[in-house]
Amino acid sequence: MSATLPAPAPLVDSLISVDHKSIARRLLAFSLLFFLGGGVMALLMRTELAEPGLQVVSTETYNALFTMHGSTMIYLVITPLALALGLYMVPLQVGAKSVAWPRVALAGLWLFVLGGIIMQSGWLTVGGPGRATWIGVAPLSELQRTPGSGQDFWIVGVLLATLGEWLIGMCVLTTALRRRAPGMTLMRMPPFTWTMIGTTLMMIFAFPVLIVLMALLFYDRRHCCLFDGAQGPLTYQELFWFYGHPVVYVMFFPFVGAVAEVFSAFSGRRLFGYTFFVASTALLFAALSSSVWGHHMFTSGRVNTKYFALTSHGIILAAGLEYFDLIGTLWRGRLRMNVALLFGIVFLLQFLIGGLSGIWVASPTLDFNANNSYVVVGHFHYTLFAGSVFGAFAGIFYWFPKWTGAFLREGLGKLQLAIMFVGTNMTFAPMFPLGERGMTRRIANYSDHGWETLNTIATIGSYLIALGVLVFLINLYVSLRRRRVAGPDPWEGPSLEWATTSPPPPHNFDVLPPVRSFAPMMDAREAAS
Amino acid sequence: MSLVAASDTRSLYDSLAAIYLWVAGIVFAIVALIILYISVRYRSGRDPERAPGERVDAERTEGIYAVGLAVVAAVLLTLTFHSLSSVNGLTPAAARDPRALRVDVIGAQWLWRFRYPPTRPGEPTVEQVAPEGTPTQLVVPVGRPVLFTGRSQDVLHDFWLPDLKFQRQVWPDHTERWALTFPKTGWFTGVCAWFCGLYHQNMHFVAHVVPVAQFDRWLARRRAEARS
Repeated sequence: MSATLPAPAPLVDSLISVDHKSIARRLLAFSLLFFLGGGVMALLMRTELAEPGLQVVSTETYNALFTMHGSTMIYLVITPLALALGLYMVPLQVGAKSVAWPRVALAGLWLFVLGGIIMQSGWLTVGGPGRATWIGVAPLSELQRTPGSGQDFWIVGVLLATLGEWLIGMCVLTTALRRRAPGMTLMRMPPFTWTMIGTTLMMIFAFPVLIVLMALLFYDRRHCCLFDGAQGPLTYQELFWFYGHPVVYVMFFPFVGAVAEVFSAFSGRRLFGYTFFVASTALLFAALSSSVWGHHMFTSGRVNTKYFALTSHGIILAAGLEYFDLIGTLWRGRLRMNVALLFGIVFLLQFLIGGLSGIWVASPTLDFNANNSYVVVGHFHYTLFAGSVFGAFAGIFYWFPKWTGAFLREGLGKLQLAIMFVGTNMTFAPMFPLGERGMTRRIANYSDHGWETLNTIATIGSYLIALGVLVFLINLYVSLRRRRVAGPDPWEGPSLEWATTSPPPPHNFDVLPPVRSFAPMMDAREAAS
Repeated sequence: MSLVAASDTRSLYDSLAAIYLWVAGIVFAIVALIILYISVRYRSGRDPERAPGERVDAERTEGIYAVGLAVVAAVLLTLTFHSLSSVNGLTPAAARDPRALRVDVIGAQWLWRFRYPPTRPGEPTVEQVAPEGTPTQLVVPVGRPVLFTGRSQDVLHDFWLPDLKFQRQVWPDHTERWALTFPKTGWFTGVCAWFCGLYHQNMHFVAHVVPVAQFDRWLARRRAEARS
């Protein structure tokens, strides 16, 4: 009867499918691929730093490695990973049959992939890839200071990847605002969806600034003088950090949201203090993100240090409330200690170290020493790796059954967590005393000031992290090859994604349960019992 | 922990850092203990029959807690402002101080130069510079304010003295001023903290802090050498 077109071949389908779940899967796969690449770069650097002197790579290669490690992880791994979770889960959580503007989301995916490939192809050029740090600061990134096409590839890569991410973000935001199921008011959106709203609101104003800045830098390398003069280097820093600080929270909120869902599901409780959580995490935190950028420039002596110290200390309020609500969700819960929950709990503890060291560098007096030292390297790796990546694994273990219909192995997951927990703290904790004692970031070589032991410990830790990632890859392989079938709702989750099959059909839902709170599936179970 | 009396960046840093470290340590310990307690007390295996708690918020408690957080933030901020005013006040104080020594700092890929401008008409400028890859010596008197004016000849650099817990960016076409007092004699490593290209890691200097009389003799000798 129906005259449907024949389904396209799988390869073609994977290029052109506009199903948000398929786009998100591809985005996730690419970010995982880039994660492995960025991880290898980190291992090379840690190997070089294991002892004083130059043993493994040249200084020039090392400069390329840290530039590309940071650029890969930020532009090509954690940001797209956060967006992939949003692109997959937000339409499901709000009960939509598709994402808003699916073709725009598809365009976003391929712009991102193109940008990533262009950035990495700098490795094939004669002078090597971009090597003017992940912030590409002028005047160092100008043509006469960093010659070669690798730096241009870096600029174009960052521009395209960021543009792609921005487009996807706008689709996710529009879906949450315009495609909600009947009965789902704003204050009935699940916590993860709210964190994605915070994330994408920040992207609206922050990402275009970087896109324009990259275009200006590209122009500047061919012509001249946009970032010259007494104001030039300051202008570049101001513009960059106006993007660069919000993006830190873009790389954090979605994982807080994922952990909130995990805590709710595995404690059998609704998110505690929902109103406060929405107001503090999704809105206050996001609003503050646009007013703290100057704390990256304290040592320039040319920003209003007191104002930016004030706004930066304001983060204490937003983050403190978020912790209250997350811990309150576990309180008096009935905790099933699955891998997802364990990753969530470790996330909470480790991110706290990142957060507390963040208050440290928010104080200009302390930042006058910590800036550009290993204190800062330790700080942001505790937020982005010990925090965000652990939160991401909580979300991955939680939602993997929804995405594939199969469970990840719990035993391998616990092994991975144990190895990564030890490795992470061995790698990043020694960085605080190293920085305090005067070790600068972005150096391939150091003479021994008693720094060797701590650096060796950090290097051993980084290999443990790599081992943990390997265990995860084995887990992926085993779980997909010898599937343990998960039903539609294996964890008794709180929100609508658990109301449909695993994986969901192309149109997402056959029927939707009524939505009377932000945890409709819990309502349904309570009504049934 | 007297923040007022301190007149050098290191003691200002140390007293503030101690407070921040204590606060961070206490907060971490509290949260870690709560999480440990929850993980043991509320695990499902412990009491399989127990139903999860049903309370979904505690807005009054959370409101009071929010005020508590704001107080902690305000206290930390007040201490920071206080200490920051002292740090920022060092520069105008040194500029007014007739005893203050002036040193011009010039950063260039990948070495530091230190110039001691004339204090009387007709005196020659003394320049300290070492071959690239070896640290330039910054000779300064102990306990006497040093007023630095910093410039760069090419890209962004960052003058960092970890022992004095202080750094400041320098960049082309711009002169930045800051003041430091060196509280004790000895040799102190300084670096460029801002990545400045290929051999950034080699851009060191050494602060050689000497007694005032020795410094005066050293500067007089260097001026005489410069004149000849």
